Amino acid sequence: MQMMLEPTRATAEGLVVDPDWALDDCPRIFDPVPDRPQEFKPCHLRMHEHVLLPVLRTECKAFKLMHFFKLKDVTGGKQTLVSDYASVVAKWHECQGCIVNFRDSDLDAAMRGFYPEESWGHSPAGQAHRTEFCGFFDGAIEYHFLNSEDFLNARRRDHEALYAIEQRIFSSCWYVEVDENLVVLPNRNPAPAFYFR
Amino acid sequence: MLKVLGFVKRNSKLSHDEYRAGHVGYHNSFGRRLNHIRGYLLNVASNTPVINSLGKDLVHRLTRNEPEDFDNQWDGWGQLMFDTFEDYLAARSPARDFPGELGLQMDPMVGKLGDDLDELYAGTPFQFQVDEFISRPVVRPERKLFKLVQFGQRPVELPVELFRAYWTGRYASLASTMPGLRGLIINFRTPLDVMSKFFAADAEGFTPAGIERRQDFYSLWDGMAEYWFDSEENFVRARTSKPPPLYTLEQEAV
Repeated sequence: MQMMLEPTRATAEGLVVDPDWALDDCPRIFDPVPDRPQEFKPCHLRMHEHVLLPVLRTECKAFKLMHFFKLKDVTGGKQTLVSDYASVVAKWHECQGCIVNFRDSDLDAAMRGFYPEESWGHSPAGQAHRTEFCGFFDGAIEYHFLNSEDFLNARRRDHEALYAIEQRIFSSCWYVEVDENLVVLPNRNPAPAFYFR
Repeated sequence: MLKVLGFVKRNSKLSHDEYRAGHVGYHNSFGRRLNHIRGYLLNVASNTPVINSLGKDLVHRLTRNEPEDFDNQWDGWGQLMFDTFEDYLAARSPARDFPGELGLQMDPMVGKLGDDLDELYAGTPFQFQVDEFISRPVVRPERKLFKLVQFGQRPVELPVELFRAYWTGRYASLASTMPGLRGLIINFRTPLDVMSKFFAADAEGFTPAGIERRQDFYSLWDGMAEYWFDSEENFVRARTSKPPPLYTLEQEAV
């Protein structure tokens, strides 16, 4: 991967770029490429987000639900999601955050410049792998709740209205619960002039 | 839950901002991998003195008998949370979280926390356990918050139980109603020894000079309240718009 590291390791010579930093365990964590032992099968996708409800995090594990969808008509569907659908969801007082993410139509947008051009991700096999995966969905809504009951209560209340919209704009949609590990809390304000995570 | 704080003074070879990067970057990357850790925060002293962010008048009104040079004794403090004391002591053993050729393997560097303590700090951290009182559970938005910590020392004639009761009682109830408050936690330092089996026996903190340095620091305060606000303006507004009740209680406590 092509990355510039910041010096963050304190040594006898002061702060240096960590010489042991490698990020070379990817092929051992992720799906490896059989004929390329140093590589794995990446699938970085650029997403365009619409924050319906800014995320608020308490000091407890939250209930995070991803709602994947494929749109019948991409342009019209996006518009409906961020207007009609959003206006219902945005009133959910139990909801700790809701973000609609649309996948960029350029499937290489988050790969280009991040992985070397000669890497598997840019090969025909890598592109086919990404195209197949992206064919399943156009985006995903992320919901943050304190618990699943809160989601069910909110959804029950507005089910008819949301279901009607879903029938109209989605050719398919499904939910996945995820365990969010907050590695770096997003800071949506401008970055301060010092190292901050 | 066991909550342990470790106050550290940066190695003088590093500037304050270099210390930030070294602590938040390399060092914390190991700290977050400690076995069975349940919470890990690092508080770094702001580059902006409170007198600049809150204004001289308000700082003078809210401050009494601030120890001279207090801020020069530390640059930051980490907060470690574990379920039990046993988990805390066992945390610094190799972690089985490293994907190797044979699957998940042990990484001895985790137990050593990156092995950079001597280069990052000036001496052993002042590490102690606190009892916490959550007055307003912290809720974090996706942006950097303004965090302010109020240190307090118990008047010698006031029993420990009353000191805690006053701070966590009516005072905390009033403070927790400040508009814009995103969290309020009051912590009281306890005498539990959380250093002996955590740091090496030959660490600076166990030398006579190290013990004296730590005791001097502890003698300056007994409790600390953590406040989270969206901005310093919110805190200033909260403390100046309706000043009498909290201020009156602070005066009574002297």
